Amino acid sequence: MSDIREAILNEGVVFINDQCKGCDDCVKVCPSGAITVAGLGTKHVIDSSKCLSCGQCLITCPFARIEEKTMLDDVRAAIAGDKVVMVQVAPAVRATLGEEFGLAEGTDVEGKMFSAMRELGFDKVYDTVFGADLTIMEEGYELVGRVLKSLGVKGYEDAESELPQFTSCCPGWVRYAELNHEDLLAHLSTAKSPMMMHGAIIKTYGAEQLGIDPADIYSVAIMPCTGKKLECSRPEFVSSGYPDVDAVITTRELAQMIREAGLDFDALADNGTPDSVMGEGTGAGVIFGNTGGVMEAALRTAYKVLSGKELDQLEIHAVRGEDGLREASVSIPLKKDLAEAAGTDTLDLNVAIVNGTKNVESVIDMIDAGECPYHFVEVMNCPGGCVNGGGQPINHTIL
Amino acid sequence: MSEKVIQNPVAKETPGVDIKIFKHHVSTRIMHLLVAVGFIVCGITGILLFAGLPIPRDITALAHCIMGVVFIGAPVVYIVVSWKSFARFMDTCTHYDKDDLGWITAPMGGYLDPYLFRGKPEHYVPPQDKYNTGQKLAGLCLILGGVGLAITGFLMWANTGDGIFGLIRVDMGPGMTWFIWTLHFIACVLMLLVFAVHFFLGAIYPVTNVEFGTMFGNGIADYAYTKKKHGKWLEEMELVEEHEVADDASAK
Amino acid sequence: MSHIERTIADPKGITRRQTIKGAATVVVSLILASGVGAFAVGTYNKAKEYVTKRISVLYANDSKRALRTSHSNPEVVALYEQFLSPGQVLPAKTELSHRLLHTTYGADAEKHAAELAESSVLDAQDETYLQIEELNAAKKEAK
Repeated sequence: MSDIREAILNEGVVFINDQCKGCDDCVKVCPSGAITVAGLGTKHVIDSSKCLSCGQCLITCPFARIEEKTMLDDVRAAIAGDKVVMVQVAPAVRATLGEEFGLAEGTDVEGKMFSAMRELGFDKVYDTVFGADLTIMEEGYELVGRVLKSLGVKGYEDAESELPQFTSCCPGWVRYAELNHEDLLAHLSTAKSPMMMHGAIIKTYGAEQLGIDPADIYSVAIMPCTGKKLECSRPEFVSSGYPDVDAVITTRELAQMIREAGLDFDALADNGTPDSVMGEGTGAGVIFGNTGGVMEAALRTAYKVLSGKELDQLEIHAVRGEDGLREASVSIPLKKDLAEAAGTDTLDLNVAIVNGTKNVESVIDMIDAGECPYHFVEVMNCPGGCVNGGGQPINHTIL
Repeated sequence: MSEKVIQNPVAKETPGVDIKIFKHHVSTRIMHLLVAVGFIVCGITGILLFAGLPIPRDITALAHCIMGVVFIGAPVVYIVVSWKSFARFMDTCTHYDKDDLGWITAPMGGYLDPYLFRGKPEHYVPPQDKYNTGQKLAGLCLILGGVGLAITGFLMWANTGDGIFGLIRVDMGPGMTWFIWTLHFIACVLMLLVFAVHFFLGAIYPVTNVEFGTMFGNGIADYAYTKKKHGKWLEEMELVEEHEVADDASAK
Repeated sequence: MSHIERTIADPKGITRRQTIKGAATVVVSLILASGVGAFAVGTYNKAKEYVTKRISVLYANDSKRALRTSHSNPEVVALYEQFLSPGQVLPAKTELSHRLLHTTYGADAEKHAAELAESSVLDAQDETYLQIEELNAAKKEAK
């Protein structure tokens, strides 16, 4: 294991430097109370044993006094070296990268982003949207299993039991649950995050398809998230026999690479695309970067699995929005065999979306009280979802 | 410097009359003392906090905030208690005419004469009001900087985790936090510059340091000094009281 | 002999101009304070407006795509059919998908890391083939 992965695992990703002014803005956004409050005006320190590495403090600090550990040197060395460097890029990066180059907020730079990554010398460029779609398949089928098991449908005895099922894509939320709610971990979907799934597939199926020894692959992920650096460093993510993802860099660090390479972002081709075999993504995977997006994507597939039909209206507006806790109920007509086995024609799937980890506590209280009405709960640590992740461009306006 | 003949009968030099100029009312002197202490403590603690030196920051910051309340609170109380003095001060500070132009071109009330025009005849300095042009400008800076420091300082304090003693809490966006802190810094630099000149002329500079005794003492200004520096003011002054004193009594 | 001691000071009265200027100073200061204060209070939520714009980017990206459901992703389908569950699409079922796509949390994670080290992807692949064969046999029987 490289030194930086070891250091991240032991000390966390995010730290406050000695020039802290003690303005307390970071304390307000910290979801886990990891930032010490030792009195008015004191310099803050992050308690790495409580820190989720979510980076919300970093993008909030008005004076840029919060820094992140970086794997950029490893990535640069890999590109310069002999290994086949494969890169995956998260859905939320395309929504924000333009801001680093003076483009208006809300500009989709998907094509330029892929063009830039090719210019930077990555050998294979993939889209984590593929991993997101794969996650929906695994996590969606897992949810269907849990729900059908609760209805007593035969053939689902082996499924996990606990309801509601929580999403597990967000490393900040997963670490929060691990640190604060150990008894809740059985509720978390066992499905890995899209990044880790994609990483494991790249070094197995991908290596096989491309005829490359997985030992020769260096797998990089470009994420809107500082927590992903900690996630990829965790010792259990070696299912391919190698580190499934070797290094994670943030949107900001990608922008830094683009600037250092002297690329003119505006002049990059608009029509860049990812490579095939593990690059194609659907709209459902794209919206993973939004709060409520994982839920919407999962519902689109769960509806198909349970009813045998596609949703008439793919946009599920009930799960969209930015409130801290949103709930919705989707009525799914069960397909014939399931309806018979479950003894009901329609299933009302109750879901909740938690936007900001702090807001999950009210759902956990419901579970503890035994009166949680939900089947599936999406939790994203960063307010707004990955589009506002701790690895995203810093966007401060005065008024 | 020209000697002007005073027309005001109560302020005119008259044989057998000892004129006492009551320059600063007691409320003004108390307010000034509190502002001075508040400013000096805030200045020192502020510089220490800004420099990021290894000091106990919580005590320092608390002292900064509390002395900030004194620094701002004293003038606020003063405005209520001595409304007339405050209104007169604001009027003086915002009133400028050709004499002020003359003061500036003197240059700077003649203070820069020995440095810029060494060996040449002294410039004519027009008669000045209770405060001369420089003092009036400093007064405006003081009001502007004080209001600026007050607004930004209270917002910075209210924006902390506990707010102001848990009573007032304001949550600002990070961009606004940066802006407010930056304004506080700019206002602070302005105030430090004004303070440096004010302290030098009021307490150190040999000609003008008699003002120190006036402000921190009994409020009585020297007649000759006032006649020379604030001739215009003497024309406006009114009689407070007069009584006869036996010479032999004062000779003892 | 005696002499007169006279005290003189600022006029006792207050002129209209002085009142107006004093009042103006107080009013302007108060307006400034409340104005800046009101702006400052409002910025906490306003500072997040960029998030809404970023969110709309992904929803727009979704709505302009031809494929909008995960199960319709041809490369994902191919991954299942060629690798994870040969010949069919069986998410969350086979040993390969358990090994590569699922994980454990908290204290179990360390155990999980050790288990992964004991076996290999090839082992999982062998077991997956067995699982698929069993499933196919069961299906035949059912027919």
